[in-house]
Amino acid sequence: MRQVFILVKKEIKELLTWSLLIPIIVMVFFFTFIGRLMKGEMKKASTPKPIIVVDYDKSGLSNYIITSLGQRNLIVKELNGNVEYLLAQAQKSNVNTILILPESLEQKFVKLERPEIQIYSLINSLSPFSDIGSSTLKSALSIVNESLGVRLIKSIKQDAPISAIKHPIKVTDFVSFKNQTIQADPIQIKNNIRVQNVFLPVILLMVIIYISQMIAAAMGQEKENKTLETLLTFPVSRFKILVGKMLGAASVAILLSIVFLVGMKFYMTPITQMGGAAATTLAKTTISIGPSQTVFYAVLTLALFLAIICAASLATLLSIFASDAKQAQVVITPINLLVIFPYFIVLLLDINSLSIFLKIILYIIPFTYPFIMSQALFFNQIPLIIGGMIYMVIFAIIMTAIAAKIFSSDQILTAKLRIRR
Amino acid sequence: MTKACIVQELSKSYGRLEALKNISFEINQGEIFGLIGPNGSGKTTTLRILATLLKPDKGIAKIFDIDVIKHPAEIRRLISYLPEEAGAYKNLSGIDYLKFIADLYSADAGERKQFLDRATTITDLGVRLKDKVKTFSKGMTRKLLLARALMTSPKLAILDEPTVGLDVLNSLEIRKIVKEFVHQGGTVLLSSHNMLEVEFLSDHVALIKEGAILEMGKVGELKEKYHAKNLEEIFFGAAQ
Repeated sequence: MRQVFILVKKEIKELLTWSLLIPIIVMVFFFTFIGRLMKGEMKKASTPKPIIVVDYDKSGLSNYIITSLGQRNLIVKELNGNVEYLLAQAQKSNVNTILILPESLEQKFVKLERPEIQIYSLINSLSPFSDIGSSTLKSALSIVNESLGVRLIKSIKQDAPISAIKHPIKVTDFVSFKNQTIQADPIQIKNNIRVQNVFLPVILLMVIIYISQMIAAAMGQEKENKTLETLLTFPVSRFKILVGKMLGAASVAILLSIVFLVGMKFYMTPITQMGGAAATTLAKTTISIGPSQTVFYAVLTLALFLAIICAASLATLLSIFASDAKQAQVVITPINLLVIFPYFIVLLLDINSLSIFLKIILYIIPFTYPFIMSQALFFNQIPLIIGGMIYMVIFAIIMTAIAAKIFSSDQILTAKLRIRR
Repeated sequence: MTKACIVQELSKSYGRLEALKNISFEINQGEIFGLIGPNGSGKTTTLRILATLLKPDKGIAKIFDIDVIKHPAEIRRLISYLPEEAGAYKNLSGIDYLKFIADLYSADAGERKQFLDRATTITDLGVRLKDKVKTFSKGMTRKLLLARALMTSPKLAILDEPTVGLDVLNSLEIRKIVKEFVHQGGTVLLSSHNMLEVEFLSDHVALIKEGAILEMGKVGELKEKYHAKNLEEIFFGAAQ
């Protein structure tokens, strides 16, 4: 038993190095930070959401509905005008939901004719928190509907249609997006966009982490085996050696991305078709309001390619400090964080709602752009798309230039990450 | 006599550690020059400076009259460097590794074939050259690397501890290859802490300790000067 204890102690000492601990500690801090951000967003989300209500009926029923909404965490702003005017007002005052209560609402309700009320939702963000306004309104209306149903049941008529008693008011959803208004459920549309775009960030995340590890490990091994020392004395310029390393790894990463993309496409197709005809209609509706599929995939592929080049250049630069394959794990920790941070932010939060400081940090990180590219395409944010692409190119050039400078100096052999075991 | 290498008052520090302190020596064309000293004496730093891997803090280093610091690209065409305990790309076969190096050195197919033929002869590995490097023994890998270093017929071969960690037979073979290379007109600068090996191989030697050269000259002359039987005794005498 004593010998087992001695062996276990030796194994732990061997495994539990700073090279292993630093990335773990950094990750703990990172997730704590993301958690705090989420908490802030949740707090913001729990505040009452403003909605615009147009009351054409001015009846006891319409008044009852408006009062009920006020009691359900919604701030009701009453306005009058046509739909275009209301949408413009909503956009201006940062309100995402409009409820229209039609004329003769009460009259039709009494006659059990299921009067129709309309909800217009403006899609300004794909963040999960952006759904809260319309979901709060929906649940408030559902409660109103049920209580009205109860009223009807109390005065039940034998020949009354069941649906008119169960849901006396018919709610119709409209989505307003980039000057187009179509009849659709905003949450379903957003979910459909998210499902379509979910695989690209995952691929990006996997590929960038993989390429960074690959480059750092390769450089660590080259140093460990002294093949780099030999290579640097060949009659080949240091810049060519560096570019060769970067492009070699980037080519493997691009190949991997293609394999992942094809695999994910096969994986996602049955999921998106799971809802049958309704899902197909929804998918068509989603596509009709989004960018053309060719543009969409061309932009995302280019963004993915540029992100790979950025990762390759940054990994090459950082891997100069890895003296062996084991240290490679430590040197690429910053890259992992630079990928995971924007990934989580874009997945969970709305960038526009973040503080200026966080926004600046996110826009400095080159890997933010591929994650926000699909959203930027849906919202037609051309300057952000082009600016992001240009920034990624500049970032890769700067990182390559710094790496080339270090590669041409003694530091390629003498630079080390100073971490004591 | 043409000088293959001239080193004058070369110094190099790593932070507070003075690795080289004003060392000077010269190597004649067509000879084997041995740099001898214990571990950490500055041998590898000297060789790395001459191989264009490190820049000295001060001093002059010339190879065939070309300044190493000012014209590293030209120097890389003249020299070949074999680091201590170096490896090769493990997933390449021996022959593919040699082809990779030959491709980097020459665009001419005829010249590349000459390089490969020469390397194949030096390694004497036969069909094993087609196997992956990761299956090679230490001795086989060292022979492959030495063949890589000599196949392009460099004007100066810089060999850092060429036989370190090898058994007697493999060491003998490596020494034979080095001697043969010089017979064919090459020049060799080698470092070693194996003084008997250097004594066997070298025409001129320099004894280095703690970054400074203690003594320099022909082995025979040094033996007379220190009344020593071998290089170990010379080193002991000089170090006193």
